[in-house]
Amino acid sequence: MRLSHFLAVLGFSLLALRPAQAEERIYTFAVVPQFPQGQIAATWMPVLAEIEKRAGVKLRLVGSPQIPDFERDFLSGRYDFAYMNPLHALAAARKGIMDPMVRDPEADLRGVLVVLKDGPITDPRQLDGREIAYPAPNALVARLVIEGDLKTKFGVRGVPRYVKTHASVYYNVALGLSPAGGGAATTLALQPPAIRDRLRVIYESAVYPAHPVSVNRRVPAAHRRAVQQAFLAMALDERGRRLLAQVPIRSLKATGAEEYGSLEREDLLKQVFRSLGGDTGKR
Amino acid sequence: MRRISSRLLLVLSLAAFYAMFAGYLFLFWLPQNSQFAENEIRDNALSHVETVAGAIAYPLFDGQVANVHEQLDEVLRNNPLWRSLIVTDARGRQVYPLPGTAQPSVAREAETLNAPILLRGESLGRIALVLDLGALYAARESQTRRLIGFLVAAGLGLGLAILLIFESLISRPVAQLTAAAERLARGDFDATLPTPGRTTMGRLTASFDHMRNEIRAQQTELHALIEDRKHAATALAKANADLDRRVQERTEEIARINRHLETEIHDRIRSQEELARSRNLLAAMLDNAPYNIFYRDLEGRTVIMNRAFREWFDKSLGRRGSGGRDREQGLSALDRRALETGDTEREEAVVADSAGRDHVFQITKFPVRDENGQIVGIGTISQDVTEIRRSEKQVEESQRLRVLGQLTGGIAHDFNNLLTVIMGNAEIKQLVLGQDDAELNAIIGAAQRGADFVHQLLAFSRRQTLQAATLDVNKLLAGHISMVRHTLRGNIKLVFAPTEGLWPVLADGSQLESAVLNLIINSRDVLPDGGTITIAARNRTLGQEIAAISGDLQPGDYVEISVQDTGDGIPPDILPRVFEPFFTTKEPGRGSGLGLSMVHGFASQSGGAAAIESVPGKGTKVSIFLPRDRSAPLQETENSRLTTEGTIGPRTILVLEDEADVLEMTVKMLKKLGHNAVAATRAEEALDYLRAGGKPDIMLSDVILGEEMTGPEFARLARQMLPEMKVAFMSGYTAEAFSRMPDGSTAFLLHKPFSLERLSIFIAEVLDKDPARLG
Repeated sequence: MRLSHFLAVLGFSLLALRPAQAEERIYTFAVVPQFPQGQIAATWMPVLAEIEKRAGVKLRLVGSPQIPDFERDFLSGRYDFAYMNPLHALAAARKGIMDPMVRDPEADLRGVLVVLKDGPITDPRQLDGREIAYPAPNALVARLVIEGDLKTKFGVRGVPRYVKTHASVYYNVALGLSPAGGGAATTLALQPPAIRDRLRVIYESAVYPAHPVSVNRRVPAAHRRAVQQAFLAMALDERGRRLLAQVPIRSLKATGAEEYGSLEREDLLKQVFRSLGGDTGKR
Repeated sequence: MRRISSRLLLVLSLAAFYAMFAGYLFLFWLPQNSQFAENEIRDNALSHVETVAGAIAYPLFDGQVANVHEQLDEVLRNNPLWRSLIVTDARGRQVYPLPGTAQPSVAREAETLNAPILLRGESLGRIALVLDLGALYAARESQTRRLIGFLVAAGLGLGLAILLIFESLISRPVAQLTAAAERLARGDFDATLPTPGRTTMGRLTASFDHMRNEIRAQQTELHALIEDRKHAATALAKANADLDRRVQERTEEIARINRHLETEIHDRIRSQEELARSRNLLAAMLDNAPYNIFYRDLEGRTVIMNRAFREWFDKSLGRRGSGGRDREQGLSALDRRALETGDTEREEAVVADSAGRDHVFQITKFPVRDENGQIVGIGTISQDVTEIRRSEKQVEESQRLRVLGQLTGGIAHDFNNLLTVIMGNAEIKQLVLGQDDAELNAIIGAAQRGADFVHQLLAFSRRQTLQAATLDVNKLLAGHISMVRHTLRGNIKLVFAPTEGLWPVLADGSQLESAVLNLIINSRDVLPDGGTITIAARNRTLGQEIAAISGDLQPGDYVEISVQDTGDGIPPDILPRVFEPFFTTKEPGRGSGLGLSMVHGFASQSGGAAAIESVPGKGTKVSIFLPRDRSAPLQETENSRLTTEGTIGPRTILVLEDEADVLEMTVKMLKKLGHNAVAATRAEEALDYLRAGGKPDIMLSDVILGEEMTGPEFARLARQMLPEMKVAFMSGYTAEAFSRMPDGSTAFLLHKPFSLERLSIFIAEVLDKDPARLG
């Protein structure tokens, strides 16, 4: 463990300290480390404080230095609650450890494949052997879904080029630096018109549910419900929405493991479970 | 007219200054300043765009084009003079801005700056900056306009102000002052002046007024002063005459004093010269004195030292490098003693020189007193008495040897008397018996060996008479070597091989033996671990090469007797000194230093020379060259046969011997040989016999005759009474002084002890042979 990670974990532990009450259980709440730990703490501490107040349970924010640590910890059942990406939620559910509880329906994801509007490419099949820009290797819909769909639906194998962000994918395509790029419908909509007007979507994937808050099955049903209700309530009032917007979560709805069934694809699961030792979690 | 001209001059000056100032500003300062500003903006922009190129290099490499756009948009927002930026990748594709994006119009003053985009030395593309300098130019024009306006306004205002001030403060007061000055020049002191103020002009007016008053007052004083000066001039002329007279008197007096002083100076110079001469003489005396002389003050500083002392320190002790500090050592114990006692103190001290050789110094310290009798320092005279002490020691050694020799001689004398009695009695007994008796032969043999031994002792103690004789060196050496052989240690081999046909030499045999013995002893002493001593004798006919052996020798025939050892040899530096008297390399008390000297003296005395050759590590060879004796064949005394009765007929022999036993024995032996012997124990007794008409053929007297007189003295008296009588002496030892009779004639000498045979031959020699032959 690197020193910065150790300090982050220590920091979380200190922040989460509360005067312990003998009769009161303190639940752990983990957040997938997709952002710097300081940013996660700043975002989530007020949210959890609000949940505690509303649900009447004690929560302690805990962290993992890197995604593999996070994956190992949730699979070992260390966390009581966790905000995690959809594939993690699916894996935890298939292992019978955690179930998705709430998610942002407005953040549901649809993968898009874009090309230059006035360019020569009009069909995904023209991309076999060509360079395709993606944000990152583990980008769920922008890469894993799009690349999987190109392969399975069109029999196309592109040459991936990772350009860090969705915006860069669109810029690369708009400037003609890459023939095509994988992105998400939501991020494409956020691009300035000068970019958007130069692009054409030639393929859209199915919709995939967004990051859920999952709950460990050992958490008593009453507490589970109380927390779920508290999240849903927060999304309905101004104060709660302001706090959730930092995550960012625009709205919330109750969800369950069945809603993540659309992700039951071998090509996607392999990507997640490769880091967990090859076990795809199938039962 | 004049006022108008001054003003015009002032206006023109101001206008010219302004024109020059404006010219400088617009023609030089402004363009240069603008160019500097422009260059600075351009340089900064280029530096900035290079920084931007560095900042976007990694995102561009990584495909983060959105990031690149964000950064460049931000850069353009923050730099108003940057009209646009264009980024192309390595393949020339435009990365920024998006193609078709509306570009701002480019002014004619725009300038494009280019920079490469590099990542780890690899070119990822280029970035072009269009820099808009129009704003800069506009700002410059505005600045110029403002500056012109300011200069015109400021110039007009300033010029007007200066003119007004000039008129009020300078021009008008000057005119008034000028008028007043003109009246003053005409002697009018009452002209009206401007009112003095606090300005410079005011102070000038006040000063002018003050000056006018001063001039008026001084004019009055001047008139009075002129009158005073006239009176003073008259008085001065009178005083001058008086002064001249007094100067004359003083000059004469000074001349008189000068003459007196010159005489005194001359006397003083002469006495200083004499003093200097005395000092130089004293210094020369000190420097030439063969003693170390120095003077120390009471603090122990050496103040005066003579040359000998300086040289001793500088050369003998090798302390030149110490800068003489050692000479300034404090007071010694002897110094302090002399100071305490106030008297002269002496001591001897041993001081080692730089080579480690000890020197004995006799040091005398004496307090030095000033004219009041006060002690002011310590004088020291020291003399190196090393050689004197060494000579004294050697003299002591030689005296010791001489005493030893005398003692040995005395013992030998008595011993010889005893041997004479023993040997004589035994031989007579042998004759009486008429046959060889083993016991008697043993007694005679032992007595003979005793006699030989005493003979060697005498040779060693140099109590032998120098009696030159024709010698067979082979025989002498053979006999001598057999005696000394047993005195050598077992590890020393003594080699001697007689040489055939060796020439005879004329020399004293005992001295030669002694010399050879000395050389053998020397050789033995250099062979502590054993070795070989080779003794040889050979004929040498020396020609030109003789100079190499000795400067004293004449070319001719010599016999060379050499003693050679296999020792360590003698170092070349001391080889030339070995024949010097008292020179020895042996430890004190072990050698007298006279051995080789004696050898040399003996050889020289014998008409020959001694020489030495030595090779370090190989050994030493000492040779004695003795001249060949061409006068006669070898003496064959040892080969003479016993002269029996009747051979020369019975003779009357007066025997004078104070030892009764010896007298009786001698008489008995002479009678046995058929002679008539008359015995006398005292000289007076013998003289009585002669006075009574006794006419002996031979008088045989002991040399030492108790207290009355010596044998030779008796012989002189007896000869006077009986001139034809043969005189012979016998002695246990013989002093060198006795080699001749008091009247100069040669004497016969019979060494005690003597055998019957020797006595018989001796009597025959005295009667038959020419005594001069032995002289």
